[in-house]
This record gives sequence, structure tokens and C-alpha cells, in this order.
Amino acid sequence: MTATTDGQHPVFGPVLSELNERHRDEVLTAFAAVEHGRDPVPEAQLAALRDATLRRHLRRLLDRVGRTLVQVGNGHWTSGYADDVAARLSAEGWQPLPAIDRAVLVLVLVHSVAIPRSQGLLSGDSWTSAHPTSADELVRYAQLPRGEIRPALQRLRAAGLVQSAPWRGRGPDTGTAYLPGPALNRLTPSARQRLEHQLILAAAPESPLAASIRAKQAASEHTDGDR
Amino acid sequence: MSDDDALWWAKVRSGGPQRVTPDSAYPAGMTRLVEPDARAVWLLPDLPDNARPDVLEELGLSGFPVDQRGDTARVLASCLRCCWSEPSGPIWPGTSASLDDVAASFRAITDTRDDRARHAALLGAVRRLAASGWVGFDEEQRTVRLGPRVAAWNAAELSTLRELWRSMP
Amino acid sequence: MEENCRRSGLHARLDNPPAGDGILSRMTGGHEPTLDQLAGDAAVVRLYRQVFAVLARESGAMIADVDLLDVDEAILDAFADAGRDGLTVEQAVAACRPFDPQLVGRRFEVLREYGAISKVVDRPNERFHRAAFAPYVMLLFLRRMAERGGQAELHQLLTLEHVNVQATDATAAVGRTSVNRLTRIFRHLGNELAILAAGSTAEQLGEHAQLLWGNKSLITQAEEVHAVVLDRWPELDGECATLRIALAAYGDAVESAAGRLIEQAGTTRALGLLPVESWLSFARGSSTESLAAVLDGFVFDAPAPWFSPHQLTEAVEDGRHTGPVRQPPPRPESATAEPDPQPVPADDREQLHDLAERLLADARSVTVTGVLDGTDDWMAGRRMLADLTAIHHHPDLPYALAWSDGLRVDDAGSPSWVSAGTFTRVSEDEDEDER
Repeated sequence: MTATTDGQHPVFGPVLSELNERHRDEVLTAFAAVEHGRDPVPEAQLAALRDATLRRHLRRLLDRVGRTLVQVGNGHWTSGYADDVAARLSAEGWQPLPAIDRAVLVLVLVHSVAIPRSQGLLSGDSWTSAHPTSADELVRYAQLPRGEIRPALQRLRAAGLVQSAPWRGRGPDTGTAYLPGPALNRLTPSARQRLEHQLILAAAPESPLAASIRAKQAASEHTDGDR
Repeated sequence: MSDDDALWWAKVRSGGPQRVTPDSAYPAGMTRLVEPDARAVWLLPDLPDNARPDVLEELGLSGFPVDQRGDTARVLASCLRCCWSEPSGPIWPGTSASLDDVAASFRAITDTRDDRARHAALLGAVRRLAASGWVGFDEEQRTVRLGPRVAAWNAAELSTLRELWRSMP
Repeated sequence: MEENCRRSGLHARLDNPPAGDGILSRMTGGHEPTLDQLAGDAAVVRLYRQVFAVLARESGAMIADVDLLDVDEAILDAFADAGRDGLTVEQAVAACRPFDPQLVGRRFEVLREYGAISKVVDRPNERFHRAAFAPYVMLLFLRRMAERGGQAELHQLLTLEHVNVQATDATAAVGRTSVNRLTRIFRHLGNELAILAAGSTAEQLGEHAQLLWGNKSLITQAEEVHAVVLDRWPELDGECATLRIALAAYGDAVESAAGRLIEQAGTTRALGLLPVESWLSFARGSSTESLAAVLDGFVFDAPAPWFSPHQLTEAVEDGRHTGPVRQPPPRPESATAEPDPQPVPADDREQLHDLAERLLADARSVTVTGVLDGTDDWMAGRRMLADLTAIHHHPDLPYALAWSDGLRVDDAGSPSWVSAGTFTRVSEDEDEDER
């Protein structure tokens, strides 16, 4: 334990010291649940998610470590990188995920989310989906080095970014298929939207949609610059 | 506590425990694990007691998914048995052990499946554990050592692990 | 405004070749129609009736079920294959198997009423029929329109206009007609988009997103026609200016509709505004680097599984006391091997499914309060909630957990508060791919 001399945790102490013992426990428990849990946690389960005041303390706790609270659907919570922290890391060139892993993940997002979206098969507004991406799409049709795909999928699965699903489609490949993993729930609303925009910019750079995304980005950069 | 501390926490979260040169970074709230040769330190977040992943079990929530969880846990136990040279003392850094030693320990605590299947299970588990920082795996030298994450176990947990260590062949 | 409408209505007739001289002269001159003109009109109406036969539900009403087009197509195909003798109703029905004979018979009758099918010789006992070719062309056209919202047809039309105005014997009248026609096409497109952009929901806009596709090349094609016309017939300067305005208005409408779509689409819905082909060609044609670049600026969690000493002890015990748990096939170590079907990670799908069915016990939904009342203590209640949540999030299980605001506080009860929630079976019909 790297406690300071007064026994306070150097990162969490200042926030926790404002709380009584019971609230401290509740906030810490909720911190553990949203930070370490695989899935979003129902707020009904934890006082610090349910109660707006405690939730604010939880948010401050997360903020100390570069994280923020993310609401998923109705009444479920998880945590993710605070937008400014993700931006600062990226500005430093920080990207621990290898290019091949990112490429495979993007393919899964295109086949499991974007295409079903274009076919009108998805409701809701999240990056999760029940439409599997067949291994064939990744191995046979995509322009990726084949030998690197399987290790990439294993890493992505270990990180919760993709998950296996039985392939129920037609065709010979009765093997495994993949879905976006639970870690996608951790994207903040602005990250979710940025992902949507970057996918459109990459897939159809000449489209009017891409043009209006670029215009919007330019406008927001301009406002940021004014500040 | 500064903005940079939050950045370090986010780096460990996204990149796993970070290995830095000894005097390059002192982020708040992180344990510094010095490598045996003292040429590098690992940075590992130090969480308050009620905020650690063990809380999930109590809440009945699932944590990170692990393929072949049983074998992976058994292989981690075998690594502990082989690399925690002085179980009366601290767990980090331990010593390195040959993959064969770990395989022997794993064989002793596993079922009667054939050698090939067991070896595949062992290798898969060691790689998974290495990817998440629980062990270090030198594929060329075929040696295994403990990874920085083992330092996340607290005193009470370590005493349970000591018992496990003693009970293992 | 009214003047405008009337004038453009007039232009439409002027420019439509099938209208022929009859209508034209009546609209412009106001003379009594001659017999020839009337005959011409009748021919036009006959063609219209034939062409629209494929869309007729019965005499005087349009089809509501597009499947009927399949039957029409089968009937017309049968006629094409039948040769010059034609077909009787019975032969057509037989040729259209496996379509329901009654249905084929009804469609046959409708097509006949509209003159798309007629007797080989017009006499009372004639049993053999022949089919006109126009309805079949219409059918093909409709199918193509339906596929891409008419974009391809527009491109072809613009190509034709280009050929027309370039023809050596083309006159200024041809140029004028062409430019006017393009002006109206782009006004239509622009109006539709502008109206949508001004007052539609994201969903409505999304349904019309195909109006946005290929806009650049449409405008380019129109500009090419415009350039030829202005170069050949400088006197058409006025018409050309009107076309330029229509093109600019269309461009503006595209821009504002796209902006509004992006504004309203939330965080993943805008993905649906691109055609599937765009996604497929991106996914299948991009390099690792360009795919990976989509995630520039995103940070994700490194794998951080937790192993509690308790889990380790348990796993070691299990390994000692039980027989072979599972025997994964040895995996090839070669790095170039294709992904083999990986064992699905130990999944509690069956267990969760059983629990869900036990809780619902044939009901469509149960309240969370009811479920928790059945648990023994606080801890069991918490675990039950965790299970419900896991079921809710499981991609293969058709159940949902929804929370409302009400909170039941009951100090005597063992979970001392229970939020009002419902656990529901999601109908499989709502989720096509679950089947």
C-alpha cells in the first residue's frame, strides 16, 4: 500500500475523506463494479449508482484516474476513459493496441453493426449487436495478413473487445463468428459518436455525410480554438 | 496528484502494468516494483481495499472473460509454485523457472489427459497470463517468471496463496 | 406559384415524347382535336394502362403487396418463353408453378383487364393470349428503381441526354428540351431533400438517405450536358442559367440534409445512412493500415483478468479430483494457420436460459420485485439481479431487463429496497436473426 503518512490514499483519499464510512464503502464498491465488471451494472444493484449525490462522488473518484461514468441503456452504468484523457493519450501517440487488432475490430464493427444498420436490422443506438461477423469475412474476404488474424482475435477476446458467437448463417463455415465485445459499452457518448464519424469518413470519404462530418469537425475545432 | 497521474493510471489501464526506467516517473497511488537487476521498475495501480476486483465475486458480477479459466488458473498456480522461491517473503520479484518445471507442476495437479493436449493447454495459458501481466514468458529461453500483477494481491490473499503453495507438489 | 405549377405541368407534357402531337397541339393551340389526334391519345393511354398493369391490385387499385410483382413476372416470363402461339390461362398457371394457381389466375385476369395480356385473336372463344412487351420493361425498371432508389436510372437518363444533345442533327429545340428536363429532375431531387431536411425525424431522413448517394456524379453529368448545350446553342443561355440554379439548389439541399442527418443520428445511427455496398467495399478492399486508422484516437482496456487466491485454490483442487474436464484439440503452432473453430469460452448460456425460463414460467414478463421476493436473503437477491443482468446482456438470449423509476422500500423485507423493473421475454419475431 502506498498510503501517505496520514493513511490517506494519495489518489482517492481527498474524495473519500468527504464521505462517512458507509458512503465511502458504497462508492468504492461501485467503483470496483464499474471498473472491473465485464458488463454494465444495473443501478438498482448499487446505492452509489442509484443515488445522484453518491454518483457524483463516484464520478470524482473515477476522474482522479482518468476515467468517467458511462450510462448504458436505461439504468445501467459502466466506466470508460474520460474524453480529455483519451485525447491527451492519443496526442502523445499512445496506442497499445496493435494495428492488426484494430483492423480486425473495425471489420467486426462494420459487419456486425454498420451493415445491419444499413439494412435496417438494428434498433437502439449502441455499438453492441447480435449480428455475428463470420470468420470467413475476416479471413477470406478482407485484405489482412491471414496468419495474424487468429492471434489478433485472441487478444481482442481477452480484452473484451470481441466475443465469440456461434455462426448460424448459411454456407460451409459452421465455425466461429464474432460479435463486438462488452468493452464497447465503455465508450463515452462522444467517443461512440466519434467512432461513427470516423467509420463513415473512412468508408465513404466522398459522400455528403462525410463532407458534413468534416464541416462539423472544423467548426468545433474553430470553437475550441477561440476558447 | 496531478493531471499526469490520471494519465499514468489510464496508461496502465490501457497498456497493462508499465515498465519504466527507475527514476523517470512517480505517479501517485502506484506501487513501484523494482526489477531484480534494478534497471527498471514496473508501475502498478494500488487500489483501496473495497475497490479491488475481488469485490466482483461478492457482488456476483463477472469480471474480464478468460478462456479456459480452469487451466489458466492452474497454470498460474504452477508458476507461483515454481517462481515464488521464498513464500515466507514478498511475492515479487521471485525467480525465473524453466517452462519444463512449470509443466511438471501443472502435470501433477491436472488430470490424466494426454501429454500433447496438456502441453497445448499449458502453452495457451502461459501466453494468456503473459498477455495480462500475471507472468513473464520468455519464449526463446523457455523460461517463466512472475509478472507485475501478482503484486496486486494483498496481505490476506498472500497468506491464502502461501497455503496453496505448501499444498502443491 | 400557381402560374409556375401550371407552366411546369405544361412543360412536362411538352417534353414527354409519348405524349405525341395530340396533347401538345391541344395544350398549345386549343383547336378541336382531329381524329388522328384522338387515335394518338388512345394509343398513349393504352400504353400507360399496359405499363401500370404490373402495379394494379385489381381494376382501379394499386397493389399493396410487392410479392405480387413476382407472380406478374412469372406470368410475363411464361409468355416470353411460350413463343408465337401464346398461352391459355391453364398453361400460364402451370408454367408459374409453384405459385398458387388461384393467385396466378387472379393476376392473369388483372393483367388482361389492363391490356397487358390480350387474346391472340379477338374473338369470343379464343383461349390463347399474348403479352405486350411494355409491361415487362416496366417491371424491370421498377425492380431497378426499388433497388437503388432510381439513382442508376438517373445516371442512364443523363447519359442519354448527353448523347442526344451531342448528336450532329440535334437542333436547339432538342437542347432546350434536354436542359428543361434536367432542371426539373434536379428541382424534384432538391425539393424532396430540402423538405425532408427541414422537417423530418432522423428515421424518415434515414429512409431517404439514398437520395444523397452519388450526388456528385449526378451533378457532374448534368454539368456536362449543360456545357454541350451552352456551347452549341448560346441562345439557350436563359434555360442553362435555370439549370445551374437547380443544380446549386440540389447541392445545397444535399448539404443541409446530410448535416441534419449527422446532427440527429445519435452515436451509431448515421452508419445506416451509407449503402451496404459502401461498407462491403471498404471492409473487403482496405489495407490493415486504413482499417486500423479508424480507431486512431481511441483507447481501450488491456486485458486484466483477476484471479483470486480462492479461485486458484479451487482450480487446483478441481484439477486433482476430477477426471479430464475438457480435451481441447492440440492447436497447430504454425503462425500461418487459419483460425480454427475455437472452443467457445465457457459460457453460462444454457444455465441462464434455464433460469430465465424458470422465472418466467410461461409468462411473457415478470416484475423484478416478484423475482426477488422469491430469494432468501440480501446476498441471494444481489446474485439474482446479477443473473438477470447477465441474461439481459447475453447476445443469444431473447430476454430483456427494464427499469422504471419507482422504488419499493420495505424495511422488513430482506432486500430492503427493490426498484420497479420488469424482466421480459423478447418476442423472437422482433429479432429476426435470433432464429
